[in-house]
Amino acid sequence: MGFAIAVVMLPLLAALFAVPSARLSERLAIILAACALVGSAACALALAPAALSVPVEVLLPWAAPLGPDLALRADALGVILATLVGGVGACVVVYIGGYQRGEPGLGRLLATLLSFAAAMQLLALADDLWLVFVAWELTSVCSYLLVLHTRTREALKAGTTALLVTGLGGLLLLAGLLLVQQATGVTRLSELGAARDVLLASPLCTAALVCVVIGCATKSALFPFHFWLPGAMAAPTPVSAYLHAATMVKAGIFLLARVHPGFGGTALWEGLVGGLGALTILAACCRLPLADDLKQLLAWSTVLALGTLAVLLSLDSAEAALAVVVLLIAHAAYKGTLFLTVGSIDHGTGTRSLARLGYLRRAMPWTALAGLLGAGSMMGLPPFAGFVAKEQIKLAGGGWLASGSLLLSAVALVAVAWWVGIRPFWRRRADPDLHPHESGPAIIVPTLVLAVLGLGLGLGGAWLMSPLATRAAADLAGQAVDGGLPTLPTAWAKAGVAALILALGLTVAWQRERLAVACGYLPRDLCQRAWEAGLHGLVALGRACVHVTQHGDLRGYLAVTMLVGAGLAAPGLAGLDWTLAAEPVPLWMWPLCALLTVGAAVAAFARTRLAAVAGLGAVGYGMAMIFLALGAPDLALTQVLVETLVVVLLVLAFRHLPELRAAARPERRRWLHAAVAVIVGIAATGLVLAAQQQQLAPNLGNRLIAAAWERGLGANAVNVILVDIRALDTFGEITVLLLAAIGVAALVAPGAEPRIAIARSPILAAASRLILPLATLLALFWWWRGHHQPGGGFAAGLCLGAAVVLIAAARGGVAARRTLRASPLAWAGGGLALAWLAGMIGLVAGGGFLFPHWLGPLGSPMLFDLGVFVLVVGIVVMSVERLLEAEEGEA
Amino acid sequence: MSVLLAVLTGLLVAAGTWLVLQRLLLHLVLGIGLLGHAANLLIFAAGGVSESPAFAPGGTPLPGAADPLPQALVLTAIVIGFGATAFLLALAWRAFRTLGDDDLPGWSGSEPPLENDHSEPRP
Amino acid sequence: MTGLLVIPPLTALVLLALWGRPRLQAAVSLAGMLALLGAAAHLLLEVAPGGILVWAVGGWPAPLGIVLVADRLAAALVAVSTLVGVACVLAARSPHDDPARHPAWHPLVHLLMWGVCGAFCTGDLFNLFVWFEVMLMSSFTLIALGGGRERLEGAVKYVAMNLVSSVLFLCGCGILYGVCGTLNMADLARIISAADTPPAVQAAGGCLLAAFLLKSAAFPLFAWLPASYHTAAPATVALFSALLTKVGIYAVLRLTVTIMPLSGTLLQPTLLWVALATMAVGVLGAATQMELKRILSFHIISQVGYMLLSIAIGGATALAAAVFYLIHHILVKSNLFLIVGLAAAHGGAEDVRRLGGLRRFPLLYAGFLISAASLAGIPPLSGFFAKLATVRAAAEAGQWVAVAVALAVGFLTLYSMVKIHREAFAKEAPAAPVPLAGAGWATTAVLVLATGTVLIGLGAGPLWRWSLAVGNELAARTPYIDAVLKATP
Repeated sequence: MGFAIAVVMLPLLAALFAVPSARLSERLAIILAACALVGSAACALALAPAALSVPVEVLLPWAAPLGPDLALRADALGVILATLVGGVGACVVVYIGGYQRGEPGLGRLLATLLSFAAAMQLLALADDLWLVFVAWELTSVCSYLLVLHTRTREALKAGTTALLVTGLGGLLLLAGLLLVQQATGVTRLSELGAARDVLLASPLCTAALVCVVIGCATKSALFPFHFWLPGAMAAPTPVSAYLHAATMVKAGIFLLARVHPGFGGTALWEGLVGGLGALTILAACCRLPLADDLKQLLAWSTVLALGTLAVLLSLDSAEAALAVVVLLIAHAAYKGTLFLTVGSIDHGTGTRSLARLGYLRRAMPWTALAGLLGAGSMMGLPPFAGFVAKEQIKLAGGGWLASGSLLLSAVALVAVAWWVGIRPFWRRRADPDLHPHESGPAIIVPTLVLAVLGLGLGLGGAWLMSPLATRAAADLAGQAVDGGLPTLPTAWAKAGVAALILALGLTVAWQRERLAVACGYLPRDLCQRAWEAGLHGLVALGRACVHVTQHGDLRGYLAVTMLVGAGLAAPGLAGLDWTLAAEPVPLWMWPLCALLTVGAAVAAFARTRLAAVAGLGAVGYGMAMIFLALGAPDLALTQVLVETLVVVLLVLAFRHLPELRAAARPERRRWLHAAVAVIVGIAATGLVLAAQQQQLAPNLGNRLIAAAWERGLGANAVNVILVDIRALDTFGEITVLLLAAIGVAALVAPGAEPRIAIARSPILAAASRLILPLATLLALFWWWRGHHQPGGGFAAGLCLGAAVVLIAAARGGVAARRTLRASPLAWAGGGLALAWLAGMIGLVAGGGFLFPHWLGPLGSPMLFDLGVFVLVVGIVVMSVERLLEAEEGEA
Repeated sequence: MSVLLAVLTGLLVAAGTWLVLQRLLLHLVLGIGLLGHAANLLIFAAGGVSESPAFAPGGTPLPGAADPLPQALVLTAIVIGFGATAFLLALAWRAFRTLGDDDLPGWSGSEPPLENDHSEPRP
Repeated sequence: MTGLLVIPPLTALVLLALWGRPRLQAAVSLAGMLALLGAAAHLLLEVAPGGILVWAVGGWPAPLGIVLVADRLAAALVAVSTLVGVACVLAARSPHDDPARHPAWHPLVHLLMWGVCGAFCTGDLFNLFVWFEVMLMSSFTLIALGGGRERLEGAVKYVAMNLVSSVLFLCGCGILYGVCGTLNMADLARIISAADTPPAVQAAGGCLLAAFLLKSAAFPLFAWLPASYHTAAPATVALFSALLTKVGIYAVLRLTVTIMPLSGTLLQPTLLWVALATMAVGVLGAATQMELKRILSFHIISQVGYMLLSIAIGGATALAAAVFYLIHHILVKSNLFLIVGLAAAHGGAEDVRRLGGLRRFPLLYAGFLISAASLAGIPPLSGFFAKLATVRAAAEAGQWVAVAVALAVGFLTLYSMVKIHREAFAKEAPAAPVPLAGAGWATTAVLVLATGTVLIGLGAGPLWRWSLAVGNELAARTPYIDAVLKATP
């Protein structure tokens, strides 16, 4: 069990130490990284014996039942992939030491690479469905960061494309996993085979299959998502060798292999996977002759190999399964070798152009040897590993489409092997400007190691590979596989086919220029352009949405708001009794109605500012009188005072705004505005009628009045509610006033010169002096008696505030300040402080914040009301004073 | 009576909505004020109407006393509305001073721009 | 809960008294916010094992008086909000945040936090309205602080739309009281479920829902957000993005889950489609923008859609997903805004095309990678689990269209984050970015929040089980109702 965890943890821990160790010494960092990866591979191999019988399982709880648990299962296929990741990784890391010598950012590169390796190992061993997704996404992100390493424009663009394509695939994969989980209830990949019948019978099966396959297709660069892989060649060559040849792109194929027990064998699977594979092979073949850059050649040939693997996976035979496993290993070895060779060529000559390179075997003998070995394996010559793979593929069988595409793929592989591994070294012509030199040992050794590995696996390792590979294939295919791999041509017919492939391949290789011309006529980059068009389309869609929703006209926003409010309320108004029953209406009500109606109409249609304000005032006063008549004296008092002050404020503010005028262009949509207004108005009427017609429970009125007297010690229930029963509401409400005061203070800068007076009238000035003490007395009287009679802190504060406003109007803001003896904001703050203290009395004396305590006629609610009083004075004076003294704008 | 109040509420809401949909900043302020009044009337009307105030002099409630809770709610709403109006006026003053324009449909400077990503970045 | 009510106004008053003394204000502000965080943590510890705390203010029993109710959801939200508050107050110390240097900024922020805490903890509908007004009024001034053309335009739109939604809220409250005779949420729930949701109640609920949807910035009522949020200062908008819309979503949740359950009514599919539209329009808008704050503003809208989706689906698992998402999103969104504030200050521009090379600031870069990856849903961070929870809840409910939309929106979110990363951090800038003096405070705040994100991801198992318990409690409704109505004599 420890080995399984170590496989993942070793690279992860090394990643943490990569940057610090690189600061100390580059060599140390390389050694550390290489050791970690070798250790990881070794631990994976140590799990191999168990994988042949009962795989080691590890379970660390994390986020079930929502998400992944750390459930690892080291079965044969996983062990193989894990060994590859560790082994190739170690070679690549050593290679990097030579390749990136002297360039900055080595520590960062190693850290990202090691993190990637850890994620890849996690993917190899993961058994929990969601853990697979976690590892999947992490590999995508690490790959993105690695491709971006060189910071060129191409790298940025390629990295973005890669991440977005694989990201999309990841989300599709998530959908697929979700569907699988919903259909079968399994959360472990290993249980998928057992649940196969349930899965195939479920209606979600088709969608699940398609989603999973397409998700894997994006990662493994299958058609039509293959275009990101050649672009990702912008990464440094060793990174490309690791990610885009040996490991990351295999992830999709690996996962397809893992889900094969569940989905494989169905017609949809064969058609989809096989079809995508065949199309991939075709697409790659069309582009291969056109590539001049060696890395591009290798990238397209990787695409080709991935297509081959997909075609093999679509077949339902045991031999095909074994072919997949063997090709996986062989491809990693020879593709890695060739990539590293190309890197060495790049390092030694400064170019990767096929046209320019030639006759390198003199200057770069070791690289030439590596290239030869890699090419041999890729061509499928005995005794290389590639030969073993090719032989196995031939056994795979399959229909004419599969066989045809496999044949095509084999031929193309021969050609590419020639172009990359043989031609640059053995061709007799070369660009005379090239001055090649052999690369250092740090580069050569890993390359040769991989090359020899390719040879060794074919030669003697076949029987080493055999049990593990067979077991992996058996798991994949769900059936036993004939043991043993072919090591020599078992029949002359097979030899004939092999020779044919070789001959065709070499012919193709030697006809490169003609093929390039022919392929040049074919349309190129269709998938890439489709992808970019798709993204542009989405952005264009976004632009259309923003254009519609954010048109900038506030009126539109408000209209939508009101209509949505009316619309959401409308269904509840459906069963309403709209027959407005003729109740007796007292006579005094009619003039008030008229006042309200006329006032509203005047406010709505007035031509001057003053008239509009007068209309609004009329509405307010009318409402106050309705309140008075309908048993709400406190309300009437407050409304009258507030309305007066609001009118004053409006007049003061509207001085600065331009006069009302008809719009420059006649409003074409007046009828629309009217319609909206009417609809919303009707909805409001309906709401009130609904409330009046339906009563689910008796209201609290009587209980409140009783409680107000018994516990609140007040006869005026409204006031008791405000300062005692629902004091918290009032506390919040006065805070709103304070906030308004702060807002006014912050927004309206005091004028440069304080105005002397707005109304130059000695009578008014004298009257204001007289009124102040009277108003103070009245205010205090109202405050005191509020608990039992109409009055209360609000009315008191408004009254005193109004008096101070009169002083400000008559004698100027300076005089008002002097009357208050402090800034209005201080009054406002002081009021809140008083209210807070009143609440604290409850906290200190028992019962909690705002718990009422009475001492004779005095009580904490009265202190609270005093706070309200003071605060209201503050806000009233603040707002009027500021608007009074505000600078004259360009009105 | 209650029906009449319902109709009045609807009228005020309609007037307020009409105002809020007009072009000028001034109309917006007035409209919000009217809508506030309408909401207050709505709460008051929905709570049930009666003619005696919610008093209990000497401990005995007046006959047919009104429900004090909607009144308390409306009072709170009136006061909050006053604060909001004061603030809104200050904001309107400041906005007009800075923008120099009180025609609301023309205010689209803060809206998201609709350029494509190859156009020149804004300074 | 007393601390939550008592500390912020005290701090705000002290800060007002310290008008004109910025250093002292900053110190007192931080102290006050830390004290509030302490009170919130204390509340969370009390409530977390299970149980609902009920406090009848002033000793007045429900439904006469106001009760404050702290169930686990409310306590968790308050705790996370105050944490964000601490981070923003820290970040405001950095010199690049100009409006935060206005003497009114700190008192306003504390009163905003007070409103938020009150809104989360209240059990009375009108009290919720009052707390909303406290929150809104402070946000009105905060968003306009500093003046400037764009800011004031945005502020007027913001203020106007929110005042209209307050009117809608009032209407709903009034009607509901008229029909049910009570304003206490638990009492309303009891009465409404006993009477099988009569039409007048549905109408009032519709009004309230419209008001809350506007506050949450849901489709089609979100237009105020892209017009105003991006004009505010970094610490301000970080606070707004974390808190204001979340209070709106919380209100939607209380309304549609506790007070008048959605299931079976027409409102449920309506809310579902509203959520999907919100997700889609938000992220499509983000894809078109090139300025950092504008991109993130649109993303707020899109993420709100995810949470509304979970609420619309209903049921214990979906509600648990909504709870998880709320907590995750508060941390990540505010962090992202603080990060882009720093990024814009370092790079001297808001437009990503003008920025570059910001990876040279390793702490900022690390914070960005964590937060952006979390938002995009990349495992093993909190966003992945939140999205997974939402998508799984939708799948279990058979809403495969919602699953598809959610995943597509996730893709576009990734697109946005990659755009910011590539342009602002990875590519080389035309001019080298400038290190800022005093940016340490903001960076600390960023790291604190990023750590929170990582911890949620690592501890996803226990946190999910906790959320599931909360979801069960919410879906069952009776624990809440009983706790409130029985706790008071």
